[in-house]
Amino acid sequence: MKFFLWVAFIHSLLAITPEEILKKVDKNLNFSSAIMNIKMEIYLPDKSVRIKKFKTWISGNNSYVEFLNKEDKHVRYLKIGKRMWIYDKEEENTFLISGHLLKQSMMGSDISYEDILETEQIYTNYDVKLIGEENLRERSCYVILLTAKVKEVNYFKRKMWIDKEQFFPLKEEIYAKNDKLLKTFEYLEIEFYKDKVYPTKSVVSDKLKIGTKTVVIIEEAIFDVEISSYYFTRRYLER
Amino acid sequence: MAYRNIKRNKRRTLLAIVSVGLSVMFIVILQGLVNGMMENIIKNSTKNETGHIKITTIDYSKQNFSSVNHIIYEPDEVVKHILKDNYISKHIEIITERIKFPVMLNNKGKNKTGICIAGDIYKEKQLLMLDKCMIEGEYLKGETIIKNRKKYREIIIGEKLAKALDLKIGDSFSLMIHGVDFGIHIPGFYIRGIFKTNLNILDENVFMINLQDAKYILNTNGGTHEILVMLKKPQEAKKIASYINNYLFQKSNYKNLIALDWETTNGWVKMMKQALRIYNLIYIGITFLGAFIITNIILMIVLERKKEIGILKSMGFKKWQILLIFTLEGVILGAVGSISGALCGVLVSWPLSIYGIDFSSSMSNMNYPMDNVIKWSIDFTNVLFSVLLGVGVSLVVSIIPSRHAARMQPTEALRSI
Repeated sequence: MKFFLWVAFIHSLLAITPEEILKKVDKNLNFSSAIMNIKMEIYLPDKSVRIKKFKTWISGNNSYVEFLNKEDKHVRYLKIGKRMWIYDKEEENTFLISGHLLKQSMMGSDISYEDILETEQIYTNYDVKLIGEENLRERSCYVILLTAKVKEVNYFKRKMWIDKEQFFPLKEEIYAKNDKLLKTFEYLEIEFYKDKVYPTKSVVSDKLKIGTKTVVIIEEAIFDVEISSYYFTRRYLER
Repeated sequence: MAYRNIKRNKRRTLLAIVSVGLSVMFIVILQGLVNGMMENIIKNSTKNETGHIKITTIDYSKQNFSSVNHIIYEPDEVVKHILKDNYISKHIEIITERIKFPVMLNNKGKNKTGICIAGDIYKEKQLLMLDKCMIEGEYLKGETIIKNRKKYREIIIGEKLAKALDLKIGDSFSLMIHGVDFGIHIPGFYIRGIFKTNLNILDENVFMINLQDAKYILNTNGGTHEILVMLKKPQEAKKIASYINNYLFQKSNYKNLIALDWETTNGWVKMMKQALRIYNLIYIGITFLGAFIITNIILMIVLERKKEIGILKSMGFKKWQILLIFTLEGVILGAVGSISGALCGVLVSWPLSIYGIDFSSSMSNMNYPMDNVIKWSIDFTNVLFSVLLGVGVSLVVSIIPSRHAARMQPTEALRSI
């Protein structure tokens, strides 16, 4: 009997905590800087697919985006920390996205501006619980439930399926306070860069809309490159 | 005989006439108000919202909100095609394009949802008629304004909306708008004028821009949301909308379009029509209350004239003849009361139909497409209806006591001598 108690005690010491899992995920996903070419496919019911292409320069919590597709070529985004500006070159007008506008969908996709602006490590604002282990797309996963402990978060409840081997989220479901499913993020394809991993194909689906989804594909990516801080200025945005 | 009996007790007769007359007068006045409100709502909601006929895409017509994505492409061609048909064109007074989309406005930290209406600034002078409601600044000129080397599109804005956002003439602000292509556009707007229509639905929520500006900022490729048709005879809207639907359906390019008449699309009219049914019940109720005195009077008369009834019956008068005498007495009282009541009602409603009554204080927070000053509407069909209702109800309420007289046995009646 004593032996079993000792085994259980040692096992509990060795077992990974949900906070540790999320820290590993954060470490895995965060690059100091990156330049990426991204394609966004927006699927709407009874409509042809809308394709948006953009190039983004990321450094820490800052990013700068230029659209490449013809109809949005006049649009640029600048994100500095938790603030985001849009610049319309045709109208020569800059707009700060704030308040209720953060909840709006970005370019008609299933992604909202506040999804993009989330920069903090999520486990600091959530109570984290490991609720089990499941197989997802033939990968063994930790299932983690995050419940908001502060009001200043975008979503009240999140459920994440994290690959046990790669420490990479394969799926995330987002719920409202009344347990209504709001959104799902699925990371379908991944690639490795040095000791890190990044999703090359992900699908976001806003469950409050009917029959919509947005597929985000990273077509090209360069990591840990030096990017001039000039990219992340209003002057560069409005040039 | 019935007529002679009426003259016997003049005070009692007058009481019955006044009672029926008052109820009919009240109905005529109430009808005038309700019809005035209905006409006002129809006038405002058709010219501001639905037109007499609204042509949109089928998808747009199914939306509860104005989605920017459902566009009629090449609306000029659609209009030309419609006007090519002689039958349709001879009924049309105005045909124009309109774009309508919801926006979230913000200025100096103040937020307010609003509706942008974009129309042909010249044709809209006959529809929205905002040029007649400018309280500050000017109506749209169709110009682009350059201020501090920046391009602005001119707008006119509702007085209450401008106040809520602390906007004044000459101020400018920007909006983030998702276009038809899901692209983002951030146009700058310059306030050319402030309007006050006394319609809260417009003054609190609407700002108007030039149609061409809306097409550009929404990237509609020349497309529009709605084609509004105003007819010479609005009552023919259903018939003509159905004709336009068949006509458009013959051309494959226009199979995604639908023409809807104002009675089908206008939620306010549907609501008012439902309310009218309830009002009709109220009118009947009021008439019964007014005419109920006739039952009492006839019953009193029957009891007073038992002797006469007995003599008439002994002389060979049939049941139906006795019934007719007393019923006719009630009907005459009702008819005189109804006609005089209706005349009084028209006399009271007539000045109200010219000057109206200002309900601004009670309607200041309501978002109905209804002017604050409501003018009565006198419709002679409705006046006739009130008279007939008065007479009809008087007939009904006279039958019960008259039947009592008709059923009386001659011996029993004569015994009361």
